[in-house]
Amino acid sequence: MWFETRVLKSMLLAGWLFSITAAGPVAAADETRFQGVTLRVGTWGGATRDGLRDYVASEIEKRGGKVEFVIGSPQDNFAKLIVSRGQLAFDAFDFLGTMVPEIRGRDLLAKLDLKSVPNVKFLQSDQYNDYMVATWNTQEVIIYNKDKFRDNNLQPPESLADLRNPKLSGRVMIPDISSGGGIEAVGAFALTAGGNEQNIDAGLKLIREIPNLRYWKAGGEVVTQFKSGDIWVAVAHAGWAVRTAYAGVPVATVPARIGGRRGMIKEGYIGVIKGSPNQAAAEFFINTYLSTLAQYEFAVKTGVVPVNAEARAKLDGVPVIKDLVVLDPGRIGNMVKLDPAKIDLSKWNEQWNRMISR
Amino acid sequence: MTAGHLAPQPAPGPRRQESRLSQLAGRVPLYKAITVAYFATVFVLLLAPLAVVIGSSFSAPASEGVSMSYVQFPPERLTLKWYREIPAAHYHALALSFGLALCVALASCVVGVPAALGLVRGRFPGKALVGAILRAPLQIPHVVIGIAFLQLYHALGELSGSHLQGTLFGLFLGHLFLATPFVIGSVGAVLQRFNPRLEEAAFMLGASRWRTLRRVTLPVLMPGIFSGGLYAFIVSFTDVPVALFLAASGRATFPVELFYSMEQDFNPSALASATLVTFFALILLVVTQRIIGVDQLLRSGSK
Repeated sequence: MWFETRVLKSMLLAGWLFSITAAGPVAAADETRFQGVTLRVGTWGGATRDGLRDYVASEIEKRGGKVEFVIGSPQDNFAKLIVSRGQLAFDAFDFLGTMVPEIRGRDLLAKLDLKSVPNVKFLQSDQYNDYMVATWNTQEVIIYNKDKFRDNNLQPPESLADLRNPKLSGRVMIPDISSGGGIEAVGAFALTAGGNEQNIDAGLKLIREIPNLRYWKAGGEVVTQFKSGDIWVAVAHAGWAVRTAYAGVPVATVPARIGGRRGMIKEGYIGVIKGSPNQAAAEFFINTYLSTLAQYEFAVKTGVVPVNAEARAKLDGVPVIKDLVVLDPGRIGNMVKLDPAKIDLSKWNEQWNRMISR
Repeated sequence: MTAGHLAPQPAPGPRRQESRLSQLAGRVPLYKAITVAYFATVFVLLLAPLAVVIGSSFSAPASEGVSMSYVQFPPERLTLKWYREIPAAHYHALALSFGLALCVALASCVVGVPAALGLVRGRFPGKALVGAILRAPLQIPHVVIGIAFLQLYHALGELSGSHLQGTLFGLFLGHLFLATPFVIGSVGAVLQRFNPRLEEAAFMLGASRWRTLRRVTLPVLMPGIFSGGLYAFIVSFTDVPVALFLAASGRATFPVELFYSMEQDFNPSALASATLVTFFALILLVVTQRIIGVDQLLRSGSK
């Protein structure tokens, strides 16, 4: 017994000594892993940049590296990439699902070493490939003021076509085509009216049938107009519904009925630019971006929906979010996603300008 | 037509003239009221957005536990919370934009004044074309200028190996391109009215070219230089599209920071930042007026 205890103690001591002698250099090596590296990431400003700085870039900085954000919309950053003619504008950049065909067509992205991005295990298989990884999504929904609907004996809308109700005249707001979610909203109207990505005329006619319709350019307008009581219903992503609820307005969300499905989803991606000398740091950045902690905190800060299943499950415990955002993977899977390969944006804009803008 | 129509009208007598004057006098208060109402409306329309921004920056929600991601005007309750919560990034961006705009204003005066002198006084073939080229930045959309400069920097980088894209100096050059036509235009306008006999008199009295320029020409041009420099400062300080393409990574300018704050996560601290800048501009104007005298600067040429 005495002998056994002694052997056990010796083994524990040896284990401890081994762990501090072997793990020490490993930890030290990890601490200086990105010493001298400056990773440039193209992304939005505001809350997106702040969220990435606080929850993702900080991990690279802990390891001796530095992250600089090149702020701009994905379209602006894409223009910079094209203009740069092979010289690197940045190492990695955020872009939208609708931009994927053009980005892939121009062969701008480096092949990722997915072994360096193990957190893709939290994603669905269709949310990443060898060149890009989804980082967030937004759910384009109908947001309505429950009190106003109840006081005016109005039934909650089920479909975008319900917004034509004359009782809602002047009380409906949808995104302008140039604003965030504008393309998805136009696509949702087109699909609701029997059109598709290649034929949006029917959708634009449906939009024109909504009496005294208002348009928003920045999501903050949605919250402001709900708060002032000027609008009772809006088409926007569910994150704005959460902010409207936090502002004290009793809102609910409805993923609109589109054919046999419910709701429209928009996805954001990240990829590493071909030729980046900082690919390892960029992959570490992406992996940290996909971690449960970063995805959860980023979602709370910016109002987007995490692609990380664990982070989504964690959000299910947050009262307002669980009421207004769809977190169930099955229901998310049932949401409509536009086919970017079929979208001709310049044609869409031209049709919008002809039929909607005056 | 009757003969009566062709008959000469009697000349207005003193009594008739008197009644006309009294009629006119009766109309003056109405005319004045319309004028006052017109200008009051214009002022309200111009100042209303500013009042909303300033008012909303002090706005607190009516009840606790409510998150403000909207504009509330007039405020339900007053708070200084948004001023305390202005992000550090806004201050950094403000310092950057202010320094940049100051450099752009000075440099555009250094470039613009000789250019205006050459354009107005010079005699050379293609003068009209050169004038049109120097005015061109005013007619090109700023987004196009941003992309064009970025492309130019990349091309230069390929040739020379030195890269201006994503550097402060690159952004400075882009803003200088935007701002210089304002100095050329305002200085050129003063030069068109400039009486060359003033310089001739200086020469006749024995002044050198340099002394004449310093003591006669530049003081006369001062209102144009001052207003052109002020425009140049404003153009650089408020620019978004060119800065979006040329700004150095990690160093966004103040309007770009505000733009994304408003678009992404609407929060009244952006309004607080804007209010601070407005007050800062007003204080600067008052101090300039007190110390130098804006009127003096604008009048100096007519002495």
